Amino acid sequence: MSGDYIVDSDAHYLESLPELAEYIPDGNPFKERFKRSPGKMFPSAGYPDHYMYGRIQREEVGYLRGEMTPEDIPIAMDIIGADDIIVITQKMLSFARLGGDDERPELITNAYADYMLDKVVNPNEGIHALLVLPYQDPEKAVDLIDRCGGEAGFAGACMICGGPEPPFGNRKYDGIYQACQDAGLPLVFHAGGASLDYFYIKGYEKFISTHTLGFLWSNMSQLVSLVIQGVPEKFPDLKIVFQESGILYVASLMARLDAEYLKRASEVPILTKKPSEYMAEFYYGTQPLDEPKNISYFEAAIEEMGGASQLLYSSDYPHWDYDPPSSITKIPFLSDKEKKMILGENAKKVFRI
Amino acid sequence: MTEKIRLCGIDEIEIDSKNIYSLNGGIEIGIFNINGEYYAIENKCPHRGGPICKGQMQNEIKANWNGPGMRIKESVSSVPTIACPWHGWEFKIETGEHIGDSKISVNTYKVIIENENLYVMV
Repeated sequence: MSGDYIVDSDAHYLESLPELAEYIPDGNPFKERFKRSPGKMFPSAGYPDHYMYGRIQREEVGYLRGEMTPEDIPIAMDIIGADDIIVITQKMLSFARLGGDDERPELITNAYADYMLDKVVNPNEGIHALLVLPYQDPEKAVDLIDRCGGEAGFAGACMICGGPEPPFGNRKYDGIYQACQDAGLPLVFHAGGASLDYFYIKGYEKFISTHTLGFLWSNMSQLVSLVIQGVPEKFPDLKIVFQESGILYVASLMARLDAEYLKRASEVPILTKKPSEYMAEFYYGTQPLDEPKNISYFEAAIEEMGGASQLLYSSDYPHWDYDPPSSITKIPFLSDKEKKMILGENAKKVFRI
Repeated sequence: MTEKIRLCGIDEIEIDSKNIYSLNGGIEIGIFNINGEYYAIENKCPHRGGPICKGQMQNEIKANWNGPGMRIKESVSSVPTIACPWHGWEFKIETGEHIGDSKISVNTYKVIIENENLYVMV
């Protein structure tokens, strides 16, 4: 009331990091970093400044200059040199943050599907999207597949691997797999991203650590669950794609799982072959492509994974660690035919484009 | 060139059990009596060379799945197996095949029964 003495015991002042930087001692690296950091939060291993505090500067498109618009996508396609592009929106990459929320997954995925169809996708111009599914509510995910899975703009469906509980091998997701298989929709399992994985590997201090481990953990954990709980055995015609963890981890995981399997096969009688044999039938996005010191290691790993036929060039553009097509064309041991397969022909077969 | 070698009288091995015999050449062979049918397996696991025939016998576990959303049901089949006591590699006694990878096998030998005596072809 007017005239009363009031104390607001908890309000907030929205300062900027560049302002704060003036008060950091000279010579401390964070003085310069914060000067170039527009973020709302302190950059950390979990909530990083992906762009190295302003030092990665690619301002053609992307969130360096704000949000993207649908008009930016052809620009991105020109930069990459892509004839077709399959996009997942930025915010949907953090979808797993919703965790066990009972309402928003269904709401957001349906809104996203309608928005993408209305404003973004244009298959005639090569612009496609993935139908992100609310895996927290499998029945609603199936409803969404029924409603939108036949739309030409969706090249496939997608589940974000940010720590679903239970993991994706559980039978509660069977309806989703059946619906995708019936609709002929390839299903992409996409790593959740380092800030999500912060919850799993908290305590690490550098983004380089969480980003390295987080993406691997995201996909490796779901790969193990899918294979060992028999999803590819139960749904043999479902095309399974794993995105954004590089590729070398696949060969390593194959060897690890096979070693376990040969010792404990009676534990997983649903499997009729070794885990690596199922995994060699999956498809893998190439980004962020590993950079092994010994290129022959790379060659052997691709062979283990089923060969060039299982690889799908992926840019991740405009993210900070994107890979251009030259990441594939410069691989010395690949034949021209294999490069063409990885760059586009495989995707044409896998996705509905 | 294979050789016919007598290992034992068939009454020495009870039904659903096994005995291990050493040959002069250093080979050890396990003889399994599965409901009156006899099988011979080398007592050497192809994994790390463990004494597989000293392992435990059981019947192979099979899976049955009745459709989306249903729990995978596991049951015991009638296919006898032996698991290596070192690391658990498990083989079908009747064929010698690894239960998880038929391309991997333990060495097996032909068994001949004559006049209540058991011979193996080695």
